[in-house]
Amino acid sequence: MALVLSGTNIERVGVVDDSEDTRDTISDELQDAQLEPAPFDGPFGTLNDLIGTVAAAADAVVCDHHLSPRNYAPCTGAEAVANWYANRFPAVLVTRYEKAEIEEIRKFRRSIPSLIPSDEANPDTIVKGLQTCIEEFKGLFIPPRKPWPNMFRVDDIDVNANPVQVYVVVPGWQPSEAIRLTLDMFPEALREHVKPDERFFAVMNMGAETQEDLYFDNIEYRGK
Amino acid sequence: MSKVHLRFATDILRRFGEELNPNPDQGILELVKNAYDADARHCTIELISTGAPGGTITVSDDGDGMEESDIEDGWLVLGRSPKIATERTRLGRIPAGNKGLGRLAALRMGKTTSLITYPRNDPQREYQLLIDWTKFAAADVVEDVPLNLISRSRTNQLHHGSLITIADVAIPLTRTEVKRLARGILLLADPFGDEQSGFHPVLKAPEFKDLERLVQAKYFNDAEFHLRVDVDANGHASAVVTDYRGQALFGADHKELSSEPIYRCPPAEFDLWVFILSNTTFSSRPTSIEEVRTWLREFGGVHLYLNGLRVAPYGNPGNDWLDMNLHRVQHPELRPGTNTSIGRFSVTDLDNKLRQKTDRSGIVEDEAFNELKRIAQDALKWMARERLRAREITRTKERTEAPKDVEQAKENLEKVVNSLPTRSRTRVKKQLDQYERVRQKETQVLRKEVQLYRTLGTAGITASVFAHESRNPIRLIIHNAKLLIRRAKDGLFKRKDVAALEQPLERVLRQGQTLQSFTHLTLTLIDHDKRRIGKVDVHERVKGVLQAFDSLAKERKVQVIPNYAPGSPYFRGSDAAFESILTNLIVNSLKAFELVPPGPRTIAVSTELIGETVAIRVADNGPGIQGIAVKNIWLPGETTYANGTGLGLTIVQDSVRDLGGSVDVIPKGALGGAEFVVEIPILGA
Repeated sequence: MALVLSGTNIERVGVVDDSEDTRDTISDELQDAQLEPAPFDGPFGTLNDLIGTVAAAADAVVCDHHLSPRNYAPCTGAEAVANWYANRFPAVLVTRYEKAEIEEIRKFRRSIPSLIPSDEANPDTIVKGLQTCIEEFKGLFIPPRKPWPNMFRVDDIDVNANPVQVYVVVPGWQPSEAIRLTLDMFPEALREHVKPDERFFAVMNMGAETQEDLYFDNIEYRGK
Repeated sequence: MSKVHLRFATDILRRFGEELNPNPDQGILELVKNAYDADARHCTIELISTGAPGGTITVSDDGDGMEESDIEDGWLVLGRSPKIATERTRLGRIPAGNKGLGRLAALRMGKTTSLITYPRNDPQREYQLLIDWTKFAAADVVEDVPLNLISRSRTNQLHHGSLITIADVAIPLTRTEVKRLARGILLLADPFGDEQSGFHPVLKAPEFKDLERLVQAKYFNDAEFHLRVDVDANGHASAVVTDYRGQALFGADHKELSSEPIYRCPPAEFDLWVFILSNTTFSSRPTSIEEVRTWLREFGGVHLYLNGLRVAPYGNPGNDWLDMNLHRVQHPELRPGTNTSIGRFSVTDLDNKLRQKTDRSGIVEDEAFNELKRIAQDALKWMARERLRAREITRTKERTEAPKDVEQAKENLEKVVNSLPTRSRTRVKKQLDQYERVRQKETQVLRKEVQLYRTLGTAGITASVFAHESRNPIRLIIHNAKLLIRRAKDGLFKRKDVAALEQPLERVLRQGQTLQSFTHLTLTLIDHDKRRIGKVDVHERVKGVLQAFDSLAKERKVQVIPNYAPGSPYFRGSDAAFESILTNLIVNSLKAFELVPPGPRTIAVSTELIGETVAIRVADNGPGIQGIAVKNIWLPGETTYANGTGLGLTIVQDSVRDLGGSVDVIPKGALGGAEFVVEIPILGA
């Protein structure tokens, strides 16, 4: 059981999830995709432990976003996938696509090429997700993921929320839609400038179809 | 080889002067600051016919004046400041220091500028200099226009100082600009402080007189609270809030104010007077609420003073540099806004850590400045929290005192009734008994209502936990159903590949059962019978709650260890109140585990009989109380969890009090995490 995706041989695919039933379900999907599932029971003491263990035992990974509630790993799946991406290890993230989750994920979105809604993880979406990831390693971006330098404006800020919420508008993408970011996405030195009507620059995927897929990387402030 | 020099086009004077100083009042204020640096005690600014083109502005002071070298190497040199902040002036002032560009903007407002100066160190001499700006307009480079510095001996040696006359002012000053100038001059040397700086700039204009009257009114005694924060040279802060009589209400050391070990900024003092502008507050005062409101409208907000002189625009109308109004909108009862408070932030910066922007529009927003902001914002946050706690204490006290007061009033009433003649006594007593029955009924209804809201609060918190938890089973059921449909279409049914179908179906069944158990606790919490007052069997209730949490605990790999005291302690109350307490404490422990790395997770729930009370302990091996002061955990709205409501522990505290008990917390308890101890008086065991 193996597949060749964009020239890369993928045989064993790790399954990282804090629920045993979910690991088994994803394993079934991988089997149906003609791939060999490698479910990891955990727990993992550190993020590095998780990253290293999976990368040593598999060719790619399907990882759930929520890993800490059930005593599995001390990090989120988004954080883990971003680390695998940085190490050029193919990974797809499975998420429930809820508001709070999307905010947590957005911080790492630049390094998460493939996000699959949990009930849509099937052989097609998993294989396509891994392929998108492998192609990005080669510098080939699908149009919704292609990075462009762009400007965005702070519309409002909710200092009482935990974490602090920043509503921004990206005029070049969708001028009528406010996107919710968290203040910790901004580099610490720039946070003092995060006020309504201030403008920032970032590398963004202007071809993103929905705001859930938008990423903000290398945020810069160039003054008034 | 010939020597050449860089030269500057005359146009550069306009650019430097005007473009870097957008407002004329800022430029004039720079001239006033020059007078301060020259140790003047008085400085008079006069505007003569400046409402139309061709007017004159004069700025005169009784400072040390200038000698020839001061004019040549200082006053006429643009872009370099001869003032060094660390060297104090003769009167011990720290120079306001600037690059001379603001001064240039003011001087260029007219067609000509004349300077007459009488040096203190050379009383028999005076210097005069006339700058005709039209000559600069006609010349190519600045160096092409010679200036004649006239030196004269003088006989009148009594006074010293300088007089600057800006004649034939090109652009008229509007009323708004004059008012802004008047405000700037008035606030320049902190008119609010008790210690006078010895510098009194005066603008000869009606706008100034009106504002001066207002500023001198000083309604500080009408403030409800006075916050005072001191930050020493090591960056350590302390704060105190006093009431209108000056008596300390709350105090905080550095640790309580800040999450960081120090504030990385120069020594500072922050005073804020907070007013409660309500008719009730002002009804017994000689001051009218409208006077204070007008005063605050004009001077409210926090003004920043650097080395004794004010830095604009901080505290100007519309400048809310500490985001006070934003916080006030969210907590109107606890947070002051710029229209309900007035403040002074004084910084002594001898090392020039704070740098003023070249266009005089404030201070460069670097680390030192942001640290100043952090001081004020931390202190405001702390004060709001203390006020909230004070309110909670009053609320609790009122609740405890109210029954006693009612009892006392009843006794007094009975005495009066008993002193009545027998016939009317019987009639009055009958009516009073009836009144008492109605009143008790009303109290009962209100109690039930409160109980209902608390139960609903707890049900809401629990429901959100379970709703969160239910998502996994739901998505798994859907996912496996899709998987089964696909496999069915692929013909696996026909091939009788049992494993391919059986395993997903088993998962569907298992997750359905989990889901079923989650709904149980939320629904039982809102059961009407549970709010009825009656016998509450402590052990029975604890077992019930733990059973309801069983599935969730297993899902989250948490071991729950109960340990019951011998016997069956019971008290009179409602099951709902007791279950609210326990449910909130267990939810709290479950949430705490998400903050620590994987490892064994344990919650120990035990009961212990201590005399006439039962102690219920809920302890876990989570991270303990962290990121929040222990005394603050009970306050409504205080939470360290993202998306937390901050209501759980408030409900616990209120419910325990309703049952006549007490609740305490050990931040690092027997298992290493938080340990809550609830004590409730019992009727038997």
